[in-house]
Amino acid sequence: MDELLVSAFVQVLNGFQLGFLYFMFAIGLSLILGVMGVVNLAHGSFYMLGAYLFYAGLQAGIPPILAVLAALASIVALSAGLEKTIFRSLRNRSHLDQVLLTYGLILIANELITMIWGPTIRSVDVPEVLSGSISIGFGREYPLYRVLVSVIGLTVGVGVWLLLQFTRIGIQVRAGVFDREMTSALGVDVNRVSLLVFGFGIALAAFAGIVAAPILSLYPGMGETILIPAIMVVILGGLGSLKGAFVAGIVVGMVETLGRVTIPELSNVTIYLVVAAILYLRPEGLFGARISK
Amino acid sequence: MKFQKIIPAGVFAALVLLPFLASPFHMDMAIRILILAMLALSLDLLVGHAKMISLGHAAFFGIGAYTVALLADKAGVPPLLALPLSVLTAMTAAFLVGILAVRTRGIYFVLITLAFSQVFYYLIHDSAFTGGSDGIVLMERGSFDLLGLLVVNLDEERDLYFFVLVLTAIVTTLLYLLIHSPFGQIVKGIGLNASRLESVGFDTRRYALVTFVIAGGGAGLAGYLFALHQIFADPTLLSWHMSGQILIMLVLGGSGTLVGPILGALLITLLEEYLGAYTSNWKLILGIVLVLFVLRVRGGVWPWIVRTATARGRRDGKVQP
Repeated sequence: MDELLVSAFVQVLNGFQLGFLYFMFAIGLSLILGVMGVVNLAHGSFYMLGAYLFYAGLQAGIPPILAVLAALASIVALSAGLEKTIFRSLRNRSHLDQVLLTYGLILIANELITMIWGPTIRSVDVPEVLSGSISIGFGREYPLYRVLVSVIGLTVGVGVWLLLQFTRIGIQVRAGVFDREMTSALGVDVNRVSLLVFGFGIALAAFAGIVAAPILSLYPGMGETILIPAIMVVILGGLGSLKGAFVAGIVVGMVETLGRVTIPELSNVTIYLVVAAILYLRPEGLFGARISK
Repeated sequence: MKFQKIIPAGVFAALVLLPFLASPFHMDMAIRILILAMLALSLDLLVGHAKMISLGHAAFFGIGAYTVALLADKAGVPPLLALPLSVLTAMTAAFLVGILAVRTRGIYFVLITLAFSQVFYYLIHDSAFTGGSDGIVLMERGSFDLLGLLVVNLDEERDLYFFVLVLTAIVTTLLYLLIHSPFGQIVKGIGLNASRLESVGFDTRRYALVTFVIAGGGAGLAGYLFALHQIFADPTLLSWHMSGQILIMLVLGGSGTLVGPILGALLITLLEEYLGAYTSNWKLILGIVLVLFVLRVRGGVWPWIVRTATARGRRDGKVQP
């Protein structure tokens, strides 16, 4: 009985860890959709790029911390360039145009990664300092790094919450989610807000990729494996809602992880059915105030 | 004016003569193009006319393919008898998805159709009954007697070609008639202004649902033919990348027109075959084309041809402005 309980506990920990990854990834997806009105299917490509740049940094012998910073800095620079050249003009375009263009970016990103690093699976070792494990009782050990993923996710969540709640730009972002036109009419520089939200959201996606790199494998197309569950997180949580992304992220991560153990044949389907059921009851998502245009 | 008569006649002659001239490789490609054209046309009913952007259309394509493959594999049903069943199962699946999806608009519709296509993808991908990621092989295509005149043997490439050609022509004609019917006008109205349509008393959700189911049926038929053509069905048929590719076809070709999606299916297949033979990274080029297309071109290849042709006609004084 105890053995079963401990296994269940381990799975719950795994669920949290996956949930926090989804959460970190989904914040940007949700805010970019909420503030800019742009559906960014290429969000997963930045997650992939983050993981690969981190991998490249480690391969070059750079200390892990510096590799993280270098990867993030280059992706933020890239995202700023893309915002000014492409994503800014996508704000006023149809959803069809947004879907097509960002899908085109996915194709480009996947092919570039294949060209540079090849189609084979790569893996990143857990940095030595973080490679230990901790005891969770009953003589069972749990890897320290996996606990750390949840801690990082929680820290990021609190940080973003503080930013949104207590800074001037945070208020402008929340106002933008609530009503874009009115916010701009009140004199908020929408271009600046959208640049910041885009850069920040992309950085978080890349950071999620970096954090995930030591526990998942790297391959071209890895971005789509997180993109689609994360879309479910955004729909479930409600557009532009941080609280929604948090709760929905954990729900999706947990359902997926526990589903895999209990009903493996249906593990991938369960989450979509849960989302469908919730949407039937609450079309605006768990924490969405309204259905946006 | 000549242009408008010569071109269709030329295309018709080329389509009929093709199997007598083309190599097996080109025949194979021609069949695939016809099937993908049917698939793109069925999606364009949603995207081009009702402005409902589905990112899950591949699910119904795959369901059509799996219906014929499963029936043949598990119950020994001859593939030809499975045709109506393939369409029917795809329509049923579209009905189930549609009930939920038409409650939403805009970006939610995109995301929800994507979500549901994933349900079907994983159901088929994770189940041993459907052969998992390996899929199911179809042993034979079968043959039938056409009014006692000639025997159509689908295991012959040429007969299969004509079978697919006739069905694609029928679907194209039906879609043409549908779009120009009163029903089609309402479908277009949903795309233009659904709330106005509602306020004059139309139940737009119901019309949207029927449109969604019809489009699903078209995809199911295309999937049926695709399984017949490549004699197997595998989960990639239902993947969201397949949905993305169909969308690319109709938009590059020209969404909202009848020729556009067909032309798009042709262009993308040619691009894949020839660029793919030249470089394994052809999707990089497709991606760049797509980005530039959305940013700079818009509108699609077919509308561009029509515009250029009418502009030239006008300059020559042949077409009245």
